Amino acid sequence: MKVIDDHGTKKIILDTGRTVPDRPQRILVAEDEHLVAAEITARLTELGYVVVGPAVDGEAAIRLAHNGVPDLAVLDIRMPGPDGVAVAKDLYTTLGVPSIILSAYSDGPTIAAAREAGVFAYLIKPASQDQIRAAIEIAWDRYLDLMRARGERDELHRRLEERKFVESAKWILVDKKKMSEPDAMRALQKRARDTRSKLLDVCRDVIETGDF
Amino acid sequence: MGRGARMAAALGSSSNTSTGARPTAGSWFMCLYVGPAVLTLASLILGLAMVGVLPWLLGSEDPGSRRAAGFAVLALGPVLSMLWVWTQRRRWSRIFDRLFQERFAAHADLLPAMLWTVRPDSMCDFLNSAWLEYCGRDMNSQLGHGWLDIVHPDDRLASRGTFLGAFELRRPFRLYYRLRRSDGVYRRFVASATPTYGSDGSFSGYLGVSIDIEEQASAVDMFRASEERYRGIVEDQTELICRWTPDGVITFVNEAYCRAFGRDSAQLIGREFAPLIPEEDRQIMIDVAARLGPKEPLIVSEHRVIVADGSVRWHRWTDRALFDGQGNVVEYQGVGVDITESKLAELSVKQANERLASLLKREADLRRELNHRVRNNLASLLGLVELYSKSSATVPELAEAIRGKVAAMREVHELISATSGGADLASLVSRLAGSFAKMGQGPSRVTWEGPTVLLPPEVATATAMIVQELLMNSLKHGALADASGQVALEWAPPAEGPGLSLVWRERIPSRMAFADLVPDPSRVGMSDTPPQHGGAGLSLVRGLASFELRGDASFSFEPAGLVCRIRIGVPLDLPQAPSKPTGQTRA
Repeated sequence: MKVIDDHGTKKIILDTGRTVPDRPQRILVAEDEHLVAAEITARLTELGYVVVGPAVDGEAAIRLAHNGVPDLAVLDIRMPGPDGVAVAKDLYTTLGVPSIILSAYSDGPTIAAAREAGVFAYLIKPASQDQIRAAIEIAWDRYLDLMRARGERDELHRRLEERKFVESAKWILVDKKKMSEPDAMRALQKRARDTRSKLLDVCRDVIETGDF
Repeated sequence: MGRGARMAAALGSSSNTSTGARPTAGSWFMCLYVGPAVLTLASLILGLAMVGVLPWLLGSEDPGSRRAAGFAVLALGPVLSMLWVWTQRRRWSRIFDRLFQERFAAHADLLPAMLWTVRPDSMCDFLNSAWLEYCGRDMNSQLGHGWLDIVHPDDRLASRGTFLGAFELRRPFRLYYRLRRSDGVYRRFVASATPTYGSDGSFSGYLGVSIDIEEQASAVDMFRASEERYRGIVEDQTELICRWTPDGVITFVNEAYCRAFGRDSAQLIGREFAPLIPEEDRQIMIDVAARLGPKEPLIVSEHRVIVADGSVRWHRWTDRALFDGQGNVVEYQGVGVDITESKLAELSVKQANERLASLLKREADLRRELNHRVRNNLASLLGLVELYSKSSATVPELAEAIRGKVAAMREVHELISATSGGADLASLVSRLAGSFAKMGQGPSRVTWEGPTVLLPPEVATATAMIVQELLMNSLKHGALADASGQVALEWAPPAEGPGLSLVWRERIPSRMAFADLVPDPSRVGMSDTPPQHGGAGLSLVRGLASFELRGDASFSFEPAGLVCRIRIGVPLDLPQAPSKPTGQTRA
């Protein structure tokens, strides 16, 4: 994950390749009741967000998100077509967009379903402007933390794989060239320097050819 | 024929060869073979001498008479030999008879069983020492029919009858009787006798043996008594008891079982029990039979049964496997009780619990839905406030707008409560128009026409808010604000697709006259230009039509007044032959 300065605006490049602002700007709203949608839209607008939508049902929400990827989504649960939980899952899986559920339901099974779908916050209607703001900020931070942790995990995994590669190549040299382990390591590094190649490529070559 | 010969006939020829008796084999051979041979030879010599040699030696003065005498001597030899043999055979027969008697008696006395022989005239002529020792009598008292004296008086007649009857038929017979021991105790015996025949095939009587079966009989008596006691116990049980073979054939049922199934034991024993169990429960018994074994010798199961009148009852069975010496299941025994009443009670409780659980779930669902509705309505109210706070110039104006929408929601709620399923559109319009009349907004008219339509709650609420908004707008700025103005609301199924089409048409006669003079109303800014003060209302109508009604709304500001077309996209149940309820109110 990298933080860049885009003409005075901080942007974050996630390891997934997606570029997001440091604070969310475009928020998708999906709500099948006009007055509620109008109210949420007004609150979000007052908070300075650009509202995408509001989408009248689950299908419209997915369509809108794919047309212009929002930073975050605020979704009602009960909507025609795919419900809010299904939409949240779809948006996170396909676009990496985090979601907040805004619902009048507060029973255990509904909240559990939302948690399993991986939503980042759950708001009970009617939510005040402060509640909405807090939920969005915390959800966004948690989202970035998760992306960061995921990036670190992927990096560690990659390094571990590389390490296994290097170890395999090193032991081939120890076995075939009767070198000591440090000498084999030095030989691989020297070959990489001499050929201006990556150490990993040199190791791969050794493993594939079985020779040095 | 003597008893020895009968014994020989009964025991086989081997008895003849075992005569290591006092007359030696040599004397027997001499008597039977050498004697006749000597006699025959002597007569031959003498006869030949008399026929030929003697006359030749002595001269033939009267050869004829001497020859005749010689032939006579020759013939006399065989006759004498035969006579000799016959006499010797009788003699030896008596000797053998005596020997056999002695040997038989000696052997018979060695036997633990009581042995006896009977002559062809049915008179007993021998009893071994086992008999005599048992009864403590001497031989003479028992011979003939004397043996009947120790037979139990109750068995005597039957024994005698069987005995004599067998003699007539000369067949083997078996006799069960009680014999009095020397101490006066009667014990049970079984006598087996077989007819004996001489070497010439003549009937020579019976050889019989009497065996003490008191111990076995007592064991059988005990077993029978035990079985009777078991049966008594089993029959006294209120539990149903039955036994059946591994192939499902009933081998035993008690009275309670018969009563429970309404059948007698003859109708049950020897038949398969499968037909007594409903087909859907038979697998239970198959599983029980498969599981019963040394590792699981006892299984309790519950299933239904079919009794004689065809009714179905519930039984609980405790089944047990019975094994043979090798551990193989030879039979199953089941003890059952009728649990129909408790099962029915259990089912009733279960159903009641299910009903209760269903009611509790319904109550929870209702509470959850109510909670949702209240919160959603609060959110909607906030939305209303948000919507009208920007367009209302004063607080009373804001209050009036919100009050009108809340009133519309109340009307819908009352209608839905009355019909418990939806709101009739005509009734809804009537209530909304009537509420304006009560508010005394001035003289004007509202009419409506369309088929009977029952709107679902969400659709009814949105429709009510739209109609209320249009009425309020008309009262303030449209046809109803004019003394001559009229409003007509018509609805009908759409030309295409589901739902309903509504047309709100305002008509102001004075504007119509003006419009006739000005063919192009747009030139005076009245056609496509929405009123400046209607922004929030129009937004509300469009939003509700788009979101809740899944349709759209369009406005046309025609010279005669506003025309609003609303399409409800939500599928509705419309009558096939729509009636046309109409109405009008003076608002």
